[in-house]
Amino acid sequence: MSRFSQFATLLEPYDLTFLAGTPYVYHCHHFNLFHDQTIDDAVGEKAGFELRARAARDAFVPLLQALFERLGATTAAEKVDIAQDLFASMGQGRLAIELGPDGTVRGRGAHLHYGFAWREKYGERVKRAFPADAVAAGLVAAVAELTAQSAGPWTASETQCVGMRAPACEISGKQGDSHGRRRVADQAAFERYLGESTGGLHEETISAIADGLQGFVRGASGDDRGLMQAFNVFVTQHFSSYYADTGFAAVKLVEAVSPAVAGSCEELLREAGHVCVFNTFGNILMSPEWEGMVGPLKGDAEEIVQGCAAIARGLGFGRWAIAEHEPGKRLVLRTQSNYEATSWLERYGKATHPRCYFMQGAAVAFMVLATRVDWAERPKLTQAYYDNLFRGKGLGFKMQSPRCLTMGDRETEIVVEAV
Amino acid sequence: MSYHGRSRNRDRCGSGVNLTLDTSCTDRRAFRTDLPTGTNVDDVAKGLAQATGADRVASVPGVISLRIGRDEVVLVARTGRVQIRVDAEIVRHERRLRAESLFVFLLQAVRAADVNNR
Repeated sequence: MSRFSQFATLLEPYDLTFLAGTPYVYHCHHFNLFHDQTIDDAVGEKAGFELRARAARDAFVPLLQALFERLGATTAAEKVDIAQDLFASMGQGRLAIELGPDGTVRGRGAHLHYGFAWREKYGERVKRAFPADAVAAGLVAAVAELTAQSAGPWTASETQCVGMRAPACEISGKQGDSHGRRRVADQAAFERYLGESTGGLHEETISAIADGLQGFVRGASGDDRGLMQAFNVFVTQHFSSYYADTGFAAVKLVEAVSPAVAGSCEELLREAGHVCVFNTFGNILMSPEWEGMVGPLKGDAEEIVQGCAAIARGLGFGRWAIAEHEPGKRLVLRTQSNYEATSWLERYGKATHPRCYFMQGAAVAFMVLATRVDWAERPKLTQAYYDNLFRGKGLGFKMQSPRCLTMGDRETEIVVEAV
Repeated sequence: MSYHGRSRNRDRCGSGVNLTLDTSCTDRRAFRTDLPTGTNVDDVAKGLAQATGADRVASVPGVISLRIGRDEVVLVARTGRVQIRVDAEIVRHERRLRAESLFVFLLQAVRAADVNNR
């Protein structure tokens, strides 16, 4: 457990988590890499990196300010120490930040989550041409701003990346940012948009499992490299605003520039939900931790859907509740709290169509895992199996969202039905 | 003979305990074995920790998690399932070998626990 755990809070009964007032969730490397790739596909690699680095910086600045105050850090050295430790405790990697006498700010790390995980997942098959560690760049920019003598936001770029086969990642800060720094949705913003929490079917079972998972992840922390490994994946404690703000910004940009393909961008953000549920949720369901806490997985549809709802809560996605479930035919998920909606409402006001993309994709994936996976066979969660389930002949399910928090409704409702 | 079949025979070691590749979304990093019915999992974990200098790390209720260097061994108290997780920095073709080296310690701990319980 890290020294920052004492500042983590759970907003009950919404299953939303905050660190010193900054909202966070847990996501694995499969999801993180897919999400970032989606942003880059939508806006281009260079603009994508900058967008993601800004989103990370804009979340790190208020979090670090709060932590500096609570931990009594006043000198630049103390602030750098806290920033490095925080980054490592979040499973983002150990980054050595150096403040140069000439006002330069640099970061170096051989095990940054994105570059390292990318190399592990794709490195043997794909040659990466662009750096991966925008989140680390965001941290360097945030530290630069909070330790610099002159006010104003910084940017940072990654000049060497482990994902590109460099021995270590190198990040360099630069003063000034014409885009300025944007305020991210904090705990107070989340509380403004919460509907009345109503729960759903099998509440007792789901809550008990979610409580166990929340306790486990709260105690998890980065290792000596700053990498957090749990359930066989690299896990990060990450800003929900990072995912929401970059995803929404990418969609808005595509809608403005190339409206004809905006639907494809939305589909990719939904697919990120498939990737997350298949890899992270699938791994958790088959893990020894699950077996110890819940019992050996039998694999019936109700067990899988209930388990998935519990995992979503355990990872801080919000109080996802099962309103209806007819195995193989129909699933209705509802929530009065999720991280996507608050970010959308804070940035753009009420949406004209449902925008909880991640939850939409995840709900479909719940049904795919519950009906199309033979759990007794202990399937290997490979890319080929993912492609077979989610990219082959069709998902076998259609999804609609008749109500959505992003549209100002009191809850998000997602209906998944067999086709 | 399949990769699984080969390892099953090689790793038997006379204890009725096998080491196989476990289900996961990572490439050859998770290996599985199941302790014989009636094995005291707590004793095995203690023996393994003693032999390897492993640290016990936080886990969910009902699970013992040991960190050995950067590798991890996870034991389920109620079912006897054990998962050996090899660190990602071990190159792919050496991961099985690393898992087997931990498996040897595990087998010794199983035997010791068995003797103690007789």
